[in-house]
Amino acid sequence: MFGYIVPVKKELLRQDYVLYRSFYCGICKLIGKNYGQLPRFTTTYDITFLSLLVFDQLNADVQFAEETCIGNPVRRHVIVKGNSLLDRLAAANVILSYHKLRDDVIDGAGRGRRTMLRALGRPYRQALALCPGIDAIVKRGYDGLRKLEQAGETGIDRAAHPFAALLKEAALDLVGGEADGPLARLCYNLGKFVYLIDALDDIDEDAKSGNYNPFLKRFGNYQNRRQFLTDNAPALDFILASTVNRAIACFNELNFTQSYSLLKNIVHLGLRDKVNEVFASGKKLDRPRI
Amino acid sequence: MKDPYAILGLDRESPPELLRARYEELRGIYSEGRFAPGDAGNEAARNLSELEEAWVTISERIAAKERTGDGSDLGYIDMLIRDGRYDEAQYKLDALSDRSAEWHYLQSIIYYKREWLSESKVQLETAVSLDPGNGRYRAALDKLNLVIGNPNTNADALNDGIRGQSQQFYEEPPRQAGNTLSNCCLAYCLTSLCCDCVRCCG
Repeated sequence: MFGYIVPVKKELLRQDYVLYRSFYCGICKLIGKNYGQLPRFTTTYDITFLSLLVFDQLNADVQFAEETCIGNPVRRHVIVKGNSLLDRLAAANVILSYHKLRDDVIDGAGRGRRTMLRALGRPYRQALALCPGIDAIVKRGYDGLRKLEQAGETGIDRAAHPFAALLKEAALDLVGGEADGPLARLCYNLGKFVYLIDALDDIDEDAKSGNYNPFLKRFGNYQNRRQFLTDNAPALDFILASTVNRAIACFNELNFTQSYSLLKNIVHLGLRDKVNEVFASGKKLDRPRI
Repeated sequence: MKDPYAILGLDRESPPELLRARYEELRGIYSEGRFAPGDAGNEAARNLSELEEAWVTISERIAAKERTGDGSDLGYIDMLIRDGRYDEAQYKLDALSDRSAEWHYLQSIIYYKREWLSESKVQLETAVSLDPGNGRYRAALDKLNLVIGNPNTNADALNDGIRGQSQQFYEEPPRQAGNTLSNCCLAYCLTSLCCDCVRCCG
């Protein structure tokens, strides 16, 4: 479900690219330090975005260092140094990944993911001890999704609500602020976006496996990905464009302190770009590389 | 934000005529007071802009009430929505069995405020089909389709429109802030014009 909130690389300023990589690498390294090497693979672009947003909104202290990496032991990379806020974000990443994997396993995922879930057990318990509030939010979100799936929910907004609320509440837990404010609404729509774009991207898989998919429930008649996207183009366009536009509108209401142009690239350009990519692709998208 | 009714020294149960009379009375007092020297003048100017802002909210509510029939359930629900009390408004809507075009319109606003835009659109479409001549319903549906649901809308021009200033979807008269400012400018221009005239004549 992750990897959909990303910048548009060709529009990214050089300094923003370095800032983005430094957060990504900083979180990855911190996960390695706090939870061991294995969970480093769970680092996502989405948590990188969330970290940038949280740091920016709190105007939190950011310190950089130059370090090498297992993936590239020769070159030194600029990374963000760990601090207590980044610790919490790294924990949030582990918690999110754990619950996502658990959800997949309940859905009948293969042996690979079951093994991964077992391996994440210990890191998850450590992260849980650090951020019990976020764990409760994520757990509630996934439980909510499961209930709606079992009931065969046909409303797109309703189906996306638990995940949207999850991201909103997680952001509020990390940053604070009004439950009705622009940050909360931005994160609500981003959560909704992630859920919907993932569901649309997974449609072929879900149609074959018979797993719940809100778009299949809502529109039915699936033959193949292209036919489905073409037949329902106006409705799908509205659903995704309205979610993205609401996220952009709420983003425009915020005041920024650190990473405005980078965050703007992601929210103004990245989301729409991802929608176009999914619409244009005849198969599930590959993992992005920034 | 302060309770707009408290600024008038009244409460939300007061009849519209009384509210209007008090607003006009206070506006007269503050408008004159603005020209007093020193802090007293500043204070009056501040009071005036506060009063104008309060009046926008109150007059909207009065208009909403008149639109849906004085004191009717839908008028009350409209007020709840304007106050941001969506759960209460939803509860009241659910309890109504007569689902008119206005009912669907109000339901669409609650969905919009909850960021459920697909559901909001369905309700607006129903409102338009039940009352095709209503300009408010059609304007809201057009905005939803052409601006908020349009993947090519200019991203920089989008604004929240949920809590005040610049509403995108929820029909509302233009906000007073701009008007207050232009009123002040107008007053300044007129005053300066008078001074010039006096100088010329003298």
